[in-house]
Amino acid sequence: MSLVGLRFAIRPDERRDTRAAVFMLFGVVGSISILETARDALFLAHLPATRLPFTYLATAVVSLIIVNAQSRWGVRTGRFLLAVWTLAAAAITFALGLLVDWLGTVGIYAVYIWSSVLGTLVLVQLWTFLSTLFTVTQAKRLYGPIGTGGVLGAIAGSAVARGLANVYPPQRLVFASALGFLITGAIPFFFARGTEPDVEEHGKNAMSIADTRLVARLPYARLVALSMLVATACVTVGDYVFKSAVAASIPKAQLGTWLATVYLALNISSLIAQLIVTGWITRRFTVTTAFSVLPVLLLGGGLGMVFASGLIAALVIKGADGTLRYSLHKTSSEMLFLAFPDSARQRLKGFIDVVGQRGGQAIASAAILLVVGSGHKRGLPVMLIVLAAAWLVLAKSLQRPYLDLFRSRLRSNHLEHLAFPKLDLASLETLIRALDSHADPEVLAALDVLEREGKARLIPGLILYHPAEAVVERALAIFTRAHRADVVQVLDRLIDHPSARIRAAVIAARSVLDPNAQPLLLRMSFEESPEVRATITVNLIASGEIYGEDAQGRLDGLIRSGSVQTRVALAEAIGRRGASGFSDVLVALAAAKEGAVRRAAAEAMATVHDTRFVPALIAMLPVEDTRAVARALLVTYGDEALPELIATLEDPERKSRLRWRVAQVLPLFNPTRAAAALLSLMRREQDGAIRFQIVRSLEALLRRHPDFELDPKPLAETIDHTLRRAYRYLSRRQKLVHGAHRDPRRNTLGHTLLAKTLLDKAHNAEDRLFRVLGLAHPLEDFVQIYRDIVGGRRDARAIALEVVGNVLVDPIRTAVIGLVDDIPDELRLEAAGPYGEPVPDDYEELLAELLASKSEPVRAVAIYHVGELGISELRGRIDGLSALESARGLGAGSDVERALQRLDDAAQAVT
Amino acid sequence: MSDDLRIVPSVASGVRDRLLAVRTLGILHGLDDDGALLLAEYSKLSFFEPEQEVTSADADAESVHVVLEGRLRVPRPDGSSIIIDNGRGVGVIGVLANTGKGFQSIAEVPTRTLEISKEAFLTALDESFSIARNVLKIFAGTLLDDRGTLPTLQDAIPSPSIIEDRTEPRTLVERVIEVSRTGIFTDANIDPIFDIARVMRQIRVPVWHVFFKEGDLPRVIIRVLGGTVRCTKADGAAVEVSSGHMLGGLAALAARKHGFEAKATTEVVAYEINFEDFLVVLEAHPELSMKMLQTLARTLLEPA
Repeated sequence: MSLVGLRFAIRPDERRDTRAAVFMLFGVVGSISILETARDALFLAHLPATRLPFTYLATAVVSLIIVNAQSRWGVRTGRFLLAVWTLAAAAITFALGLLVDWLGTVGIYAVYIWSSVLGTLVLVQLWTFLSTLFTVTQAKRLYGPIGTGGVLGAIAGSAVARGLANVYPPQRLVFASALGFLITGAIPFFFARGTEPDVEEHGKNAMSIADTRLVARLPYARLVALSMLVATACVTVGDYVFKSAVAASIPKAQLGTWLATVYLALNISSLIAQLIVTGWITRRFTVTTAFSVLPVLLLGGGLGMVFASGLIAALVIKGADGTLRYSLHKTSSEMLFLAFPDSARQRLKGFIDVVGQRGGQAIASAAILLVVGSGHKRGLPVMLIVLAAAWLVLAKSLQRPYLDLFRSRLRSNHLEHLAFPKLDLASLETLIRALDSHADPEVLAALDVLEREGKARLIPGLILYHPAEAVVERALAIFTRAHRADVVQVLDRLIDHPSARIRAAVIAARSVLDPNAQPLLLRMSFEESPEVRATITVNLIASGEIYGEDAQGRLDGLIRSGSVQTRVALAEAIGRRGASGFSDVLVALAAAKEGAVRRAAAEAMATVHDTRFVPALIAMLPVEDTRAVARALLVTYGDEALPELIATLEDPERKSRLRWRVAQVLPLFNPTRAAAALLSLMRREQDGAIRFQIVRSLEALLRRHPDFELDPKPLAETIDHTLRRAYRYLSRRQKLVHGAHRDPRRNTLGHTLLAKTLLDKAHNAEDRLFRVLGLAHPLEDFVQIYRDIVGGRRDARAIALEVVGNVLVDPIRTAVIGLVDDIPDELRLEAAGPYGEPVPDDYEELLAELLASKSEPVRAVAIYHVGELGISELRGRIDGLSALESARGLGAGSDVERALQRLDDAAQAVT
Repeated sequence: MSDDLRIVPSVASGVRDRLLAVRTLGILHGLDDDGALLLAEYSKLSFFEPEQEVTSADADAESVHVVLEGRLRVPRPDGSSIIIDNGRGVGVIGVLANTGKGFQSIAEVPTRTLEISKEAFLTALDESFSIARNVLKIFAGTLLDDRGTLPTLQDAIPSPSIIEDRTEPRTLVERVIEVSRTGIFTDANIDPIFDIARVMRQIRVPVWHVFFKEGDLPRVIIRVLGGTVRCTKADGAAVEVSSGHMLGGLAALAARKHGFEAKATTEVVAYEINFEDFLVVLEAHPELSMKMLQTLARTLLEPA
């Protein structure tokens, strides 16, 4: 990250905490660095390197004791506690400085062990504290700059150590380290008070029992713990290999200066790694990839040791360790913990740090003792190779559970759909009980569900005596469709019902369930209601009692001059009878201007299968009161209706409203054919609203058919295209706004509207992009991911971004994250990569480009703005748009005319 | 069987019972299977004894209660009460208005409700336009019932009455600028603003032109730009309105017939929007329907 980038990467509200963290890490690591130089010089000058494993073991034991004691007091984090630990470190280090000569060998061991456990005491406290301050997204930006503080501290510490080592014996360096801790102890109070995290209290022995259980229960936690253990064992073996080689090759008198020089060099290379490598790798690659870099290098160093043992090979191993351990490795290790929910992170981190690091150290020490004892010359390099390989395998296996953990946290932010439950005995009981309800809607719903589930035979015939007409009508319709001849006797008692609607419905039902037409003829002779007479007419025609021209004449008369009620009754009669031969009548009724007639015709069409209905049904889709029934009916035609629907969708001459509705119903059809039509149109469609509906329809199609696989090629093309579009809008907007800053005369109403249009268009492209990404990656919920990214919750946004970062690959990954990341436009546009396009430098050139935009809103507002500014140089271009815009009717044609008029007026004023 | 005996607390009610309950509710009519299941899963059947508080005035509305059986009473500040019975809900307005205030409601008799959490209700509204449309219908209908069908309570003619000199219609961008300063379109994304501006037709009608009659089905929404329109009910009540007023919008949203006749008393310039086109814009932009629901909910909370 460039220095400019670094400045932008830290938001104003993060600056105080980030600055405090950098100084804190600088102080702590610098002090530890001085102490470690003193430690190694003292140890290697007075004791053989073969004693080192004992110090590793002792360090592990002491660390465990300390951490267990910490857990007894509660796993707490906070500014105050951080200061207490740092000042305590200063006091103990100072005491050791006083006592080291007096204690002799014991003092050297004490310094060694103390310098090693300091990391557990202070650094773990600091990183735990930081993990409560920042989300995973912030961590990815900020841990790099913060880690720089540590590396700079190490450089400063080793430089101080080198300077002092030339003048004083190593014992005196211990006092310098204590002074460093003392000064650092004041820094925690520079963290913002408002960011003080809640402390988490633990019961006694919580660390040893509850935390072990927690780690054992979570597969990801187990893997992280094991990875940390192997990683620590690996670097411990590497450290031993290096120090053995140093003890064997460097004279004791030069050890202090030599080690300080090497450590200084390593720390400088670590700084370079931190500034250049760490940020780049963590942003470009997954966390687990970043975690794999050090073992790859150690593996190479181990192989070097096997084939060419000696100080050079040992320096290569130490070089990799020293360069990356506190930069890339530390950063990526800390990020692995961010996958845990906040509630569990502190506990797990404390436990894994101790078990992983100290356990790894202990195991490595025991193994080193064994190998050294066995006398195998190449035993340790081989052990290093095996451990580095195991580390790599574990890092690779972390990827899936890491992502799964984020996915599960993402899922917890939204509601999931269930599968429709099957009707079982308990449900049936509920439904039958509902038929007795005094609430009519409940009875109607129960009737519908029973029919839908194929249980119409269970509906009692006596429901026809229900006081509500709606219930009786619904029951009659269901009995007719189910051919329930057992209810005919009940129907005969209802034939004189006072309601004409019920009488008509009873006649219709009876004529279907009993073929005898005599009762109908008899009824026709005295029935007065035109609605009932229309019903009888239909049924007499259907049964063949009225036929030929007589039948046609009667029907034409009803269609032409019947009242709304009569025509509704005619349609309902045809529907109830379910007779064929009335298709033309229904198509004619479907074109009526009265909604009630159209609706009745649509409902009647449901009872007869005739593909001639399809165009009429499609025409009903845009109208609210017939939409639901038309849609349901079209679905029953399946593949027979699909060609007509697709032709309507693809016909740009048809009304936009109709095409939009057609796109909406396509997911209800054959998924292969529907998806092919939708995908094919997705790129070509000029109308943005229809294009967006196509994307939503494809989403609906995948919800209905979760196993269906969409053709990835058009999706990839659309992703590519949408990313370009989003960045194009953003870059043009940035240039436009700068143009108005340079010349305030440009800052007009049209300019403001154009800037808003470009920004909104960019946001719309983002929304569409995430939806198409969801189509391309159906296992991920990209719609929810986008909601979380643009929503107000910091943690949800961080989780969503982490999933995006792990699911997508570059260059799409960087471009997508750059698009939604909370960064200034300068940095955002840098993230575009191959999706960025050059922007015209000149304001007028930019407007000329926008005049040619495919987006009508952008074009229209650009035309308006050019006219407003009176830019006569662009008159020709606007004139050229005249024919195109006028052809769009209500589109921007009028804006072209108005802009030309304004330009002419401006030119006239000049002359 | 009396009402009291019919009601049994449904402690062990499963998702199927709730699904059936969802299917019975007019407020959710037309809901597809996915939407119904979503609500059924994230709702519960609740039972309240007489005089038991269902929702509290002290807490923000966190759920919606739809009465399945029984009756709720919502006390009003003036001492009167609103009765909420079968198929109607409490909390819908509170959840949508999101004012941070709650409403007290009390069971009058043993009452069974379908309690839908705020999150599930808002998700369902966002995912299913059929629910949003139903709630819009109910809100608009309630407003018409509460405030009467006339567009305003008293004459609202700016003085002097404005009629533009310009004869040519406004351009697309000029319409966009106007729309972006109006009601729910303020701060809206540019796409729905353009979508609405595209379907707005500017008309100029002579004096005594009748836009619609009482009892007509609303097919278009009229937004008056200049001139005056007299709105007259069958009972003789009348008001005059002018620029900025919307005519027929609430009736169209409520899917009711026009409750008054609208007749131009001067030459009038207006925008005409086909209601079906307006619905497509709402459905294509769920954030806009949510904003409209929120606006209507807040209007319902205002004193009449």
